[in-house]
Amino acid sequence: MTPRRRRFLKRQHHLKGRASKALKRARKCKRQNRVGVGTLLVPKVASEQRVRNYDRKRVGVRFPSDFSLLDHPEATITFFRHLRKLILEQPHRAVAMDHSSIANLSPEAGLVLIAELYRADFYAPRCQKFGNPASAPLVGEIFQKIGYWQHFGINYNGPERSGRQFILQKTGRRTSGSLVKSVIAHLSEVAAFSPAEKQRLYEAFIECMDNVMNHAYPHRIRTPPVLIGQWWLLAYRDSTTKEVWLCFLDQGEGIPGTIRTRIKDLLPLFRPDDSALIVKAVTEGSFSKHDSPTRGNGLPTLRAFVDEAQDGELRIMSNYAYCVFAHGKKPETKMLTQSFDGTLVVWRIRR
Amino acid sequence: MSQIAIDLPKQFSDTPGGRYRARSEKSGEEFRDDVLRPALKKADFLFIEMNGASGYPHSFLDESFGKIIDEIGIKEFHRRIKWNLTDNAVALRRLEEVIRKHSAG
Repeated sequence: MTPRRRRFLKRQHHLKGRASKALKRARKCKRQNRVGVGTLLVPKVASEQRVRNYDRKRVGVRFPSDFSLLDHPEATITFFRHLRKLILEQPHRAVAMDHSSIANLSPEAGLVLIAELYRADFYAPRCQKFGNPASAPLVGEIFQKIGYWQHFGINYNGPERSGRQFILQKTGRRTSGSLVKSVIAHLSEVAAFSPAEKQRLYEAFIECMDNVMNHAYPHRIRTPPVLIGQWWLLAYRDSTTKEVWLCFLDQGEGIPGTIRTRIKDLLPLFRPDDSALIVKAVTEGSFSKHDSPTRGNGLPTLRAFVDEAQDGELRIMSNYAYCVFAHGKKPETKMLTQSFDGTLVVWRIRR
Repeated sequence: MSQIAIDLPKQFSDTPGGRYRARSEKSGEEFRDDVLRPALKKADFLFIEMNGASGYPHSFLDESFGKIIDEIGIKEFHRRIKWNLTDNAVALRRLEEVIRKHSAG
């Protein structure tokens, strides 16, 4: 081994272990007057510069053109799994996110994306994330309104193109009555809920949130790494279309998984699939062992609002199931080829 | 015979939360431990004004009133605790259901 080669190996910090072995072998060869044995343990590299930049190489992430979990669930879930794998499996690498490829964006996809950034910040804090502004103005506007651009230091100053007034995405690890009250007040400016309806909505939202706290994150959840007890919430009102929209997300076990865990001895021998469990939870409510007409009313109450409004829908995506409860229609269910890890509830009504 | 009046929305919270203190703001557990139990120790009778809150989730009522029933018994509960809830019919039904469930044991 030449002295130049030996100096080069010493400078490679991340190859220290291997270099030490190669150096030891080289010294051993020299002592024994041998030329060299076997193959080098260190990878062949063209230049020192390439090795220095190896760990800091940016990986590009290209978004799907139609970035919507509800309209294009398979492609969007594939994207999220790819992004999560990139960040978590190689946490020392930087990720460059190309937002210019997004032509259409739905707000719930933006919320799930924010949740993934939270997960990345927690489990891969060394992973630097870069992003460029979106080409489509409406996409940039939605990202600005939900607070996504804050993660990249981008400020969208374009004109407002939609009549949607969002609340900034909220996240937390405790059930918060004050937050729910403020969300309902925000939505009421368009939906004009009566006092009794506000109370029903309040109780339904609190139940959904508390269920996440108490059931969605059993201790055994390990993969993918999750933020235990964390939920995310986003809502908007649209004074043009007179609709209100709310999205609630958690990274827990999922509604079907939670139900199976809680009442495994009550389930029939022929186990229902994920979508059947969600449909039953929404239409019949309680899955408690102590069956009570006033328990488990969060999702049924939200569905009742959909049926009472002029138009609306309740969409739930959890594990392999995607269920849609539209106004005046029977529940539609779809099985996903890839699991949506967690639960996404999207509720929209127009009065 | 001493009596204490508790205005739940004003003295505790107008936004009652979920079940457990560790997982919820203004939880049923907090109301039971910090308001109901000390009041029951101080006075023979409690009157709880519940009108004016944003709502009463089932988990809140179950963890607060339900557990008190388990501790003191249904007869003592009816004898010592009265409440007024007229602006939320669904929550009132929910409270009655909780009382029924816990009185059955």
